[in-house]
Amino acid sequence: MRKGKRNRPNIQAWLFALAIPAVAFFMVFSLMPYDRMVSQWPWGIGQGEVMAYQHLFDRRPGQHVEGKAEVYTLVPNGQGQLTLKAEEDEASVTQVELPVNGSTLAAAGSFLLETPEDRPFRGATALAFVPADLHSLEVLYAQAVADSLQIEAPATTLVQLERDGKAAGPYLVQERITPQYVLKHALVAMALVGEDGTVAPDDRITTAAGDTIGTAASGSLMRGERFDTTATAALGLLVCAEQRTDLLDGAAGAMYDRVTRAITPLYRMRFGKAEGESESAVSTAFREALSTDVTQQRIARLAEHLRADSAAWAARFLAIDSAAVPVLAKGRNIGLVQAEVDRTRERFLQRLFHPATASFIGPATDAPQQPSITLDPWLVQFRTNPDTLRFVRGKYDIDHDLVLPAGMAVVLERGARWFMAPGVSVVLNGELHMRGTDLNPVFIRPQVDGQPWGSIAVNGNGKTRVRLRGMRISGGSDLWAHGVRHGGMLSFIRADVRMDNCSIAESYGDAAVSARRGSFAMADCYVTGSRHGFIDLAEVNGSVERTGFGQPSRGEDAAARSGLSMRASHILIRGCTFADLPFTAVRASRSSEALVLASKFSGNAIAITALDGSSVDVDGCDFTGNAKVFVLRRDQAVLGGATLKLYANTLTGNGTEREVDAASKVEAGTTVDPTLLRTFQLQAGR
Amino acid sequence: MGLNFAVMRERIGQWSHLIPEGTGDIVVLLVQLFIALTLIGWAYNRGFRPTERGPVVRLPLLTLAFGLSLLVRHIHSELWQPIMIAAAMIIAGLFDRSGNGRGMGIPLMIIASLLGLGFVLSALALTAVAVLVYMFSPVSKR
Repeated sequence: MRKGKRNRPNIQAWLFALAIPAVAFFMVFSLMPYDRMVSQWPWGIGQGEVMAYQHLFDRRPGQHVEGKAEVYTLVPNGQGQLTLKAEEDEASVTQVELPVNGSTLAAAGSFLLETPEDRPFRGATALAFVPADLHSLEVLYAQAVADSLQIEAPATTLVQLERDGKAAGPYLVQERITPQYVLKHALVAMALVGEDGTVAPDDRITTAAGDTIGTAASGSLMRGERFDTTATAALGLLVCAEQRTDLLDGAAGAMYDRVTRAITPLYRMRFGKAEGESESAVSTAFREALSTDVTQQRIARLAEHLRADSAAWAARFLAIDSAAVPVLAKGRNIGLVQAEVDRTRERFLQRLFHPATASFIGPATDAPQQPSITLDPWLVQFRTNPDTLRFVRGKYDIDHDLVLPAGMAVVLERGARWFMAPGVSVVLNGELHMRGTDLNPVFIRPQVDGQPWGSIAVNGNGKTRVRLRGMRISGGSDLWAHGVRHGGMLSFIRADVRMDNCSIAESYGDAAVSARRGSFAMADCYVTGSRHGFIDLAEVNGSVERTGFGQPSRGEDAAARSGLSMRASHILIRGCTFADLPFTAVRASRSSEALVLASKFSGNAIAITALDGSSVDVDGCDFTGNAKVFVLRRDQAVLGGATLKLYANTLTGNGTEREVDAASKVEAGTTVDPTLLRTFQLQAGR
Repeated sequence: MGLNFAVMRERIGQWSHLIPEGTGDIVVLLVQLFIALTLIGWAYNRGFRPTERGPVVRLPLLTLAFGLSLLVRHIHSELWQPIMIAAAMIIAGLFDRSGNGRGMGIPLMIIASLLGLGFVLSALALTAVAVLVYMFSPVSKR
């Protein structure tokens, strides 16, 4: 008997072998309920593959949905660049690869568009485009959660893209986190952390020596305990909800706060698929911060807080679905799409409300203990209460740096006189009160004339009170305390400051008085003789009233100096006098808002300068003999130009009245809008 | 005496962390290949006289297919992945030139590649097609 042998399969065999599975698939995919089809399949069968087969074999009748979104068009402009258009907006852009961190594969079809810094598209200089499908709903859900939490996250938009006249499908568009983004959206003192864990040096105004306590680089900048717990917990929750290992690796980057030295992690949408862990300075420190028991408890509390509002979140996600699903469905059967969307939403909500921190982030570890500050032995004699140091009438020589424990208040009663040794500072981590009178002021003076002392600096918590009355101060400079810059002879960070009847004379630092992130009210004071700036306010709400700014006899670098400088602040200036300043009297920048009422500007180099999205309203003021009266300019394109509103003012004998660039504008009015007055806590008629 | 499942789960939990991560997925992959090979092997053997039939599960073929799917699963290079698959096809084609005529190496290598790439449903479809082709195609008796 001869041995059998397999031949080439004949045509009938192929026909039947192909037809039978095809019919089986046709029946399975046309009859299977959609909710079953989109649920978990056994044996590791992936959803993507199931959907591909559904597309091929599902022949049941049904409605097909298609929706509309804003259309972005990209066309070559003939100079090796592209033109991006959306409604009325248009920009010349360059397409580059979407940058992702080491272990991530960029999504197929994703790209980055960059604009020149001086011609942004809708305020953005870099836009990331990632192709969108139904899975992108999770990105939109996460964006909604991020918007409700205390974490910085660029907005995500769903658009329809057209390239060269052809539809390219739906895309998610998000502004890339760049220094320009940080400039526009973050606090003044924030700086983007580089991939190597370093930040750009602070753009200090002067090179004055000042005082230094501790070192700026006490250990590495990127350390777990430096991460802001609130933002870290928020990002941790999003990491768990989206199951994103790239965020664990710090893919979105982080910002460094030069005021508090805290590091704030950032959030952005997924740019691709993470293939493994990547090691970087940010990722190591961020994982360290996330793994502490304090952060993990915060994540659990955040999830609990969101869960308490679960019905509202479900409704919010449904609203996102109704807007985005028709666009993302790409004409697919509505029943299937609905089943898939329901499943996606339920899974996201489950992960959001019950974050698996232990399994996804790792087991919790003990948070490192922060060392506490002990009271200087010399100060013990002034301790009248457990948390108060009181200096009564008398002379006190401060001959070494004093750093006070948290919560310890200092009171200088009338007639108290501090004589500060050269290069010596006092740093308070609690309240400061000076209770001088006209007859018995509080004096802060240098021990040696011409040799500046450092700074009296207050680190507050946002509600820390500083009440200074009847103070006469001079001879200070500024301070670097453990890497934080206190840029004035008097420096207040996150404090509620009230100053009245004070005289502030010769100072050698960046400014005589510096306030950041707090409230500030100054009245009936006189500021004179600063070598550099007079009053420097950043992210401050408040007022400066009936205060005189006098001409210093010395000084240099006049272009950068100003009498009253505001950045991202909201300040009422009323009844003040700015006389003979060889620089700018009032400077508003970084989207500040200022209302200048009944003030006098005479003989200054520039009376008012408004920059970068700032808005200044001027009413009832007198401008006499100034070289320039109003200068409006845009230095940072992403922040836009400045706006000046003029009401009833008197201008006499000035040089140039207006110097306004194309991005800025001057408007005229008859009376100040009562709504604006209310924002400065004033009534109509004042 | 009834079984105490809580204690069993606890014991399993104590030991399970010793198993390397991803072991479960690899076992599932092996089982999938084993089932595919069994089905194809059974269909392939049909038509031969009982004395001419080979083993239903051919161990060298299973080893080669498992190796291929592991490589495809873990190496994501756009260059090396197709090279590996093509090489496996050529080797399987050479093995197939046995006394029984066309063997089942090539379809199994394709199935192994699909499983390695995570296309389980496609591997299932191809297994069904291969089984049916072998069942419907005659074996010439000499």
